[in-house]
Amino acid sequence: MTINNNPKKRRILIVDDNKQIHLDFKKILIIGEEIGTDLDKLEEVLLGEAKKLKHEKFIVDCALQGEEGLKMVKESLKKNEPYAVAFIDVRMPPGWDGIETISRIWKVYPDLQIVICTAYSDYSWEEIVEKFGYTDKLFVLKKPFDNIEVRQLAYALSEKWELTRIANLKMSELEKNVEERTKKLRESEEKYRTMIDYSNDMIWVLDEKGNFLYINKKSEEVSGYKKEVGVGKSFVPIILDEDLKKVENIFKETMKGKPHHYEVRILDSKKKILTLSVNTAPMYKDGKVIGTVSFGRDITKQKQVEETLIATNKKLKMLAQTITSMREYVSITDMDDKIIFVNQSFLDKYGYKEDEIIGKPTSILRPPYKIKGLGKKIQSKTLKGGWKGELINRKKDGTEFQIELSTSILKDDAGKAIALIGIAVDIAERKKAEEELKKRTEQLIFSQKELEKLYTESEESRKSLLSILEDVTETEKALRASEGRFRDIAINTGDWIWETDKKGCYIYCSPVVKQVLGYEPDKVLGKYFYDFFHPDDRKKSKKGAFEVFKKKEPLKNFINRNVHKDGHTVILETNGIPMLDDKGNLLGYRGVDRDITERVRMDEALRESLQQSELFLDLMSHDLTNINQMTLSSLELMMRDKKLPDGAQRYSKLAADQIHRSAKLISNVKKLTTLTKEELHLEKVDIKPVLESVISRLGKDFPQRDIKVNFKPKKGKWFVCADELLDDIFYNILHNAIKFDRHEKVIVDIKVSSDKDLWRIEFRDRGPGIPDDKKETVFLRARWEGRSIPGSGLGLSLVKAIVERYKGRVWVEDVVKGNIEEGSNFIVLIPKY
Amino acid sequence: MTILIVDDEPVLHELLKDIFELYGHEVVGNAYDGVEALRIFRTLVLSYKKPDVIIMDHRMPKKDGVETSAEMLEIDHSIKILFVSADESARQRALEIGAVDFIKKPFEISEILSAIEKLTEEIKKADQIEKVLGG
Repeated sequence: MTINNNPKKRRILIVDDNKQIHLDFKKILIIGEEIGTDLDKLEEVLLGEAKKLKHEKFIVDCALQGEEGLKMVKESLKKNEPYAVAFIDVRMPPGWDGIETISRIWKVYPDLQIVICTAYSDYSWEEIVEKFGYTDKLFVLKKPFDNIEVRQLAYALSEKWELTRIANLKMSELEKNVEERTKKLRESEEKYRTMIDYSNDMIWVLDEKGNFLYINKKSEEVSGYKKEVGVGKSFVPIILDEDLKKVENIFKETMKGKPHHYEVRILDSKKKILTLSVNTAPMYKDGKVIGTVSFGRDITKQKQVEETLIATNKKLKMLAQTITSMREYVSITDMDDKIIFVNQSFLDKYGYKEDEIIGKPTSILRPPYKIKGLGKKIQSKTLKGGWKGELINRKKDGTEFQIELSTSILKDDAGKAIALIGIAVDIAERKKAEEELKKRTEQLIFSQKELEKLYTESEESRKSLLSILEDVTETEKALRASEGRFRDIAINTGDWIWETDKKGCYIYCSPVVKQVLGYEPDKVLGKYFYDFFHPDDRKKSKKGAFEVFKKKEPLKNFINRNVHKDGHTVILETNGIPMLDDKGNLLGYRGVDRDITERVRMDEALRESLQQSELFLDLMSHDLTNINQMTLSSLELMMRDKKLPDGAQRYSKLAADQIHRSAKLISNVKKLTTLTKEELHLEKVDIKPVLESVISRLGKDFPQRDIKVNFKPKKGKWFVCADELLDDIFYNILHNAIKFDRHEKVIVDIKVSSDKDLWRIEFRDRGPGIPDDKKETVFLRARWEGRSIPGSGLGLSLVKAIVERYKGRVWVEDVVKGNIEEGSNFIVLIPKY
Repeated sequence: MTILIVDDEPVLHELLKDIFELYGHEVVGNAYDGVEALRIFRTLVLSYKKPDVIIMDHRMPKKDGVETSAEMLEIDHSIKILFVSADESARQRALEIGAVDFIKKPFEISEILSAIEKLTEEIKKADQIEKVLGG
């Protein structure tokens, strides 16, 4: 047998009991016509030279018996080199006949094309049909057969076999593919179903009405509702009422194609509230939304944790705020003794910035010379429950101070120590207070002893006095009457009358003290005067009083702050006289205290309000001046515009004049305030140059007026005690004179003469004069209730104020007495320097 | 003349600019408080554009005129500072620290112009002396 790997070569099986027939078939099918009948060549072919032939189409195998044929078919199938066509003889004694062989072969290989070769009809076609049914794979070839017929059959049938085989192959591939895909699909479906069913997320599907189409196991598990109960029902009943509207809206939106993520609270089968985090998406079929699919997760616990966390955070924040705002110095250190937190008080006290102290060991807070390992000691004590003690700490600048430190331990949940907390207080203050207390106690003990001594002394003197008293009953009576009178006065006056011994201890006290300091008189007796002093002033006032005591001088208008029984401050004005014995030794003081709290308070309020009004005046006058400045400059610029019509020019000028007037008013008001406010520093000033300077400026001040000032000073200097305001006296008088003079030519005569210790300066004008009843009021300062001085720029008021400041006088007379039309004469007297 | 105006009233800046320009002077800077004035002055000095005159108000935000002037005179002692203020109490101190004059507000245009004119003459004279000495 030959094996051929060439797929184009078809294999043909010959089953015949006659070997000659085998050769015949080989001749016909392998060698073809070219070979002819040359037996030698045929032999060659049969012996294996056939490979050399170019036209070889078939591989021919032969079997002598049906059984052998079947075996070869099986063999060929095993090798995957199946036969295409088999030529099978009908009679093949002693084995199976052709029909038997065919039926057996077809059982193992139904695709084989078979040609039955028969010399005579052993079987009729009908019998064959009966045996195999109608088949297109079986042909009958009558012997003796024609070569061409054999070859045609071989070609045709092998071709048919090939086509069938290809078709079968495709079919089986197709079947295989379909089978595989179905399998895969089934697997996939299975996988997804399992995935969905056993998904860790809740998954459910709703139809377009909101009824459950599907619920997975997790949903059942979480909600407690079984699939059988839930499917087909609406989602509405399980949603918490508060969330229902929201969820219904989301469902509607999702049905319009918009996916959503939301949180919802539902009631589970046991009516417990669960919070779910849900992703919902629309479910499409043929482009239409037919329902929704949702994935949910039970976040109830997470929510609870979140809420707890928020609450914890809030608590922590509060705690942090508390620590931050604590007045004590709080520090937290880790287990390596490194500072990890300090509060604001700590930073303020120690003088560090936060980044300078965090991460540093606590030893930085202690002076270097102190015990080494103290930090370790405190740490180990703290770990055993806490440490409390006093120690010296050190600020950044090196200053040392004493603190009381309490430490405690901070543990984590597992109970492991993670940090140490230290809370410190500055005990310097406390120490000071303690020392003070100690001192006071000592003093008290001392005073007590003194008192005892005094008591003994007074007892003795009382005894001796008693003996004398017996003799002086009459005197005593008189004294008693006198004492009674005094007592009456003391009770009825609003002032507090008192008497002290030489140490300042009250030995008499009028009942008014109750009104003044709130104490009953008997509570004051035995106390020292300085006991009631305001603690802030006690030291100073006590010292001041004892200095007077020492000199045995009277106390005069001694102002002192005291504390009323109810705690408020009482300001007292003390007056007192020393009481001396025959030898001039101080026995004590007797005096009166007046409550001037209200007066002082009023004074302060007045001063404050004055200061405020001065401030307002200052601000206002400054700003007004600036406003005047800008208006004036604008007007001046306008007036410089030659194109401006006359009327506009004139009005601008008018406005500018008013600005000047306003400026002068402001200036005068300021000066008047200054005059009343402060002590002026007066110095030696010569009147003449000041007067000349004022006169020289008049032309500029009144550019439109024709002014003639007659002033012919004699030689010499006229010194007065004045300051720069001297100018204002002359300026205002002259301006006044010119302003009110309606003559075309203004004439003013100035005359300076000596009048004993004074310089007399006279200004005579030709103005309208001042009626007698106005001669005094022109100098009066404007008052709110009677702003009666027309057109007053306060000029003359200022003149009077300044002159009086210089201890001088100013008044006005008629130039011709009784005829005011002749003009006025302003006379100024200023003391000579 | 080149002029730097220091005053916290913007309207006054506008008016002074009109006045000065009308008479051929040039406003080279406007400052509205003392700090700004110093900044502008430094910049001008550094860029060799020192103004001939500084019109200085006294009462201003951030730094008053007297302080500002003192610092300016430290930078350049030859700078001519002309005080223009409503606050007469500043007159003495202004003149003490070296201001050339003090004009009280409200002033008239002629006052400030004549003060500027006076300064122009002084500067001219100083230039001439410098030339004579230098030449």
